[in-house]
Amino acid sequence: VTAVATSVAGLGIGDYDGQRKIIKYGAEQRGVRWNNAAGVWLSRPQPSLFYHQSWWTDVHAVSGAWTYLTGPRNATGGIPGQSDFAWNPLAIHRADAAYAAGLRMQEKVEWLLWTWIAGDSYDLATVYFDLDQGDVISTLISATAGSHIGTQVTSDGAVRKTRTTGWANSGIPTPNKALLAPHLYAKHNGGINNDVFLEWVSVHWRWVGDPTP
Amino acid sequence: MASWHAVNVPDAAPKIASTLAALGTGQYDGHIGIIRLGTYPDIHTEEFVWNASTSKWIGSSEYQVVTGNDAWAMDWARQPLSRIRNKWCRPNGGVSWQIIGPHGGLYTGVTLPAATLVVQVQSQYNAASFASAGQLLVRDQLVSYTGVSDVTTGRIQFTGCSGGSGAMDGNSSGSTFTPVIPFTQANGGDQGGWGTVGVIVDHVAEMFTAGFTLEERLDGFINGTTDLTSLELAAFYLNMNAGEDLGAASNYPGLDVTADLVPNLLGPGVKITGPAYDMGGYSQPGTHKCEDERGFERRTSAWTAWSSGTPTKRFLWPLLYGRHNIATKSNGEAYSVNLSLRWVSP
Repeated sequence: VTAVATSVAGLGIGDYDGQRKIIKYGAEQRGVRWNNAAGVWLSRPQPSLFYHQSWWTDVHAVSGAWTYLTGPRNATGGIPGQSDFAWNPLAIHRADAAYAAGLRMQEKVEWLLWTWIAGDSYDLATVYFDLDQGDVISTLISATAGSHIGTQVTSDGAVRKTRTTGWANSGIPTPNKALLAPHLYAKHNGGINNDVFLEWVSVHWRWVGDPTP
Repeated sequence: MASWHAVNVPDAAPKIASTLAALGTGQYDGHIGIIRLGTYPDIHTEEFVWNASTSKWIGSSEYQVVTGNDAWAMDWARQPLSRIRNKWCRPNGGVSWQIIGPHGGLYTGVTLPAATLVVQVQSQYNAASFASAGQLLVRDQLVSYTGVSDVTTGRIQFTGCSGGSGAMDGNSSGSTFTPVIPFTQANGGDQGGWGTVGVIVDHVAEMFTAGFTLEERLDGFINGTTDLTSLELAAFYLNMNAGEDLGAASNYPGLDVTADLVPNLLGPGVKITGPAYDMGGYSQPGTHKCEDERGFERRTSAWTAWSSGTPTKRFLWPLLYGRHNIATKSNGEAYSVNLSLRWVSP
């Protein structure tokens, strides 16, 4: 018999390591397993954004500002207007209800980046737009009010280097709308060049519920 | 309705360990086994289901590590024949068949640079359809021309050509072996595998060390060929650690993996092979005009044991490659490609 609850408090503390329960929030429901050592309920990871070199995503990032990735471009001209080619976002539904139920988001990011000139430095983040049905996005050029910057990873300017975060608590503030729509943003932190070329990006998320916060 | 003697017996608690040896075997068919790696919050959990008939733990997560949509089919057309013949090669960006506007295929084979290119075009096009001077993409080679004129209906010639290198096959029967595309900003393109996305797999070396292995399943639509040879697909995997630098450019997995096999690259993995027959043309079934895109056939592998060597580092970064038969002159395409991995006990 699998227990069902509508809040982390309702889940309570697991009876044994690995116990599975169901938490319902909004119109969603997810299975969570008790991790005895950590004292938390964890859901199965889901991708929120994944990407593979489509030749590369190129951003002429404004120094110090989070900028929407607009690639691909390349030395022979690229495909104007074909931005977001081959990076796939998967929306997170009813994060507002999940947070209200006591769940919190954890994220991890893996990426491999190619900077044109060593010495450049970039941050990369998943920017979630917190939206309700019918909400309008006025601009994607820079992170706007209402967007939530998630887990960030930083390049030290080395060429073709992996950067990963491991699982960590997400940096997003509490969502208060029905849907988190992930977008990929970069920020140029100085250096000679202002292009960032991404080869691979994987972003995953999971719910964590701590019944004894 | 349960009868009086029926009792509900909860499933046994899952077995939890950090290695296969410690996990042991399942107590009953469908028993849950959990492998935990790392320390909270950076803790990785891999869930298995015991399969009694095979005495294996089968991972309950199917990791879709490569998906290729139809964001224009992945194309091997804009690459030199020396690269695509019997070598694993990454797909190219853009699809020559789908170029909007006039384009064609080499009618007469040439070795670039060549002063004149004779090109077969669709019957609705002629020399006037092209700019009087400009640039062409011939496979992956950029060729400039200063003049264009009609030879006969459906055939034109570009003159004053310069640039490019390599032998390019022609085909007087009209089948396009070497695509010729007016080069503009809108159809420039470049190599790289457009239309595929990849998901990186974590904790790979640790899982192998813990006693587990991977299985692969690959499927996709691959099109027919005009010369009765086939296109194979398979993945290679970069195996790297966090913060690792690929270093010199020579260590980067190139378009031609045969020439550029780098220390971090594992593979090829499970293969699927496309049809070795023409399947007719897309727009004119049963005929082969230069504008035809041939039909596609679904090919699928079953779950197949990992064959790409033992990963020794934490992450796998998947890359999709294709390989043509050595005799091919054709231009294979693939779309809707899916590659999945799952963990199993050996």
